[in-house]
Amino acid sequence: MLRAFASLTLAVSLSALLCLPAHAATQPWSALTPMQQEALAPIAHEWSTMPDIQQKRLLATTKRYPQLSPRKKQLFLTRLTEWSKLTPEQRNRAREKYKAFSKVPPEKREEIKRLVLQREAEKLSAVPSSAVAPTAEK
Amino acid sequence: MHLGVGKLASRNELSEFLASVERRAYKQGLFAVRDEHVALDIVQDAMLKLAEKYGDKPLAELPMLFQRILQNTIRDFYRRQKVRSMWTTLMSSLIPQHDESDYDPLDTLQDDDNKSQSARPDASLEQSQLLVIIETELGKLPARQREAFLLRYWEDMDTAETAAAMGCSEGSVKTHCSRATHALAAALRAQGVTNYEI
Amino acid sequence: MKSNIKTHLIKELLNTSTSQLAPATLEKLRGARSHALEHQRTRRSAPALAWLGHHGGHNDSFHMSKSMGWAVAALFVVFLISGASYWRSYTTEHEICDVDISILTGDLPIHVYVD
Repeated sequence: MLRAFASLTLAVSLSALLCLPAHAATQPWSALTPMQQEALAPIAHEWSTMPDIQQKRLLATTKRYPQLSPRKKQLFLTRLTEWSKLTPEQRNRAREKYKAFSKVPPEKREEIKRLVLQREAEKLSAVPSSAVAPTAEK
Repeated sequence: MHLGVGKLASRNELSEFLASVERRAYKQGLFAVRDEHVALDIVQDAMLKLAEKYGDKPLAELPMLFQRILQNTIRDFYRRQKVRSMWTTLMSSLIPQHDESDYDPLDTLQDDDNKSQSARPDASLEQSQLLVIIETELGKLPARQREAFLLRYWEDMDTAETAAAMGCSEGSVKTHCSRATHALAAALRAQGVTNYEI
Repeated sequence: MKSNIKTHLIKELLNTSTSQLAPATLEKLRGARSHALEHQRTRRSAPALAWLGHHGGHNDSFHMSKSMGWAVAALFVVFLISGASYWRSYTTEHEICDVDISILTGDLPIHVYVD
């Protein structure tokens, strides 16, 4: 009797606890709150194709969305599509690059930002020629 | 839940294995990143990952598992280095970010403080010179070729094990190896070293 | 396998180089090794369980059966492991969320961070 009880306790607890750190299963778009749907609107039509980890991480970012300024909200929405189109490895590498960049001293960071934004502006105003895409590393 | 001891590697066995492999692992890291501190970080990282993830595997599986972890760790650190040095050059000389094709980030990392050639009291001069040449040429090889070469001929792994460690086919291993040996042979010949050729 | 260089000679030379590493380096490697060993994954929770089973079996006043002892100890271990891995994944995911927001709302366009 006691043995049966012990085994049952073990089985139930094991299954309950092992589920804890596991990723949530994928959610249908309809299960999202209105705020989440607003934040993720640009990728609504791709939502159902995303794996659970990607969905989970996107939902995590939507927690911060309401507190963003209107300008940042706009940036978020504008960049979401491109971000979601990257492969998981590209996103991970982008995160690493961002973290490395954050370690650069503030003045240098600003200098680099100015330089990059300047180049971006130049690219936009330049005459479009046959652009060569940077080849992917393998 | 396994409660038996069975064939799992004991702490002593893991310790002996790591001790047997750590120096070569360090050198492998050095060939790739050419920085002593980073190479040490790589080895520490790889050992930790092996112990944490596979410390309960049978002893026989450890060599291949460790090499796989090591190669992946080297790759991660190498890529991270490229990021840092890319930003470094951006800061110092405002080189455009996308001119990576002409620029070898490792050029900035080789500095005079690299004392990996220092402690050599017993080696003959010729041997030291030869070592420098070979290590330099190994460092110049493309990463995959160097990996395959060192795993086959330094770690004494067969093609199957090397393929498992590198995460590629045995055919790829053979290709990488033959390209590596050809490149090394040509480089040695060009520097007047003849006694290493068959 | 044929190769056009004497790979065994190269191997010998490389081994010579490892025997010439600086003592400071060797010391650091030894340190890395012992650090790794401290974190060796082991499925052997047997000692803890054996203790519980042993003491449970001999304690007449408590009447804890051997399998009950196993169950409780196993539960405890599972709690610890789940808690630890849950905490680790929680902090990592939190960091990832921070970085994602920064990239998505930062000053620089995304492609700057993409290879």
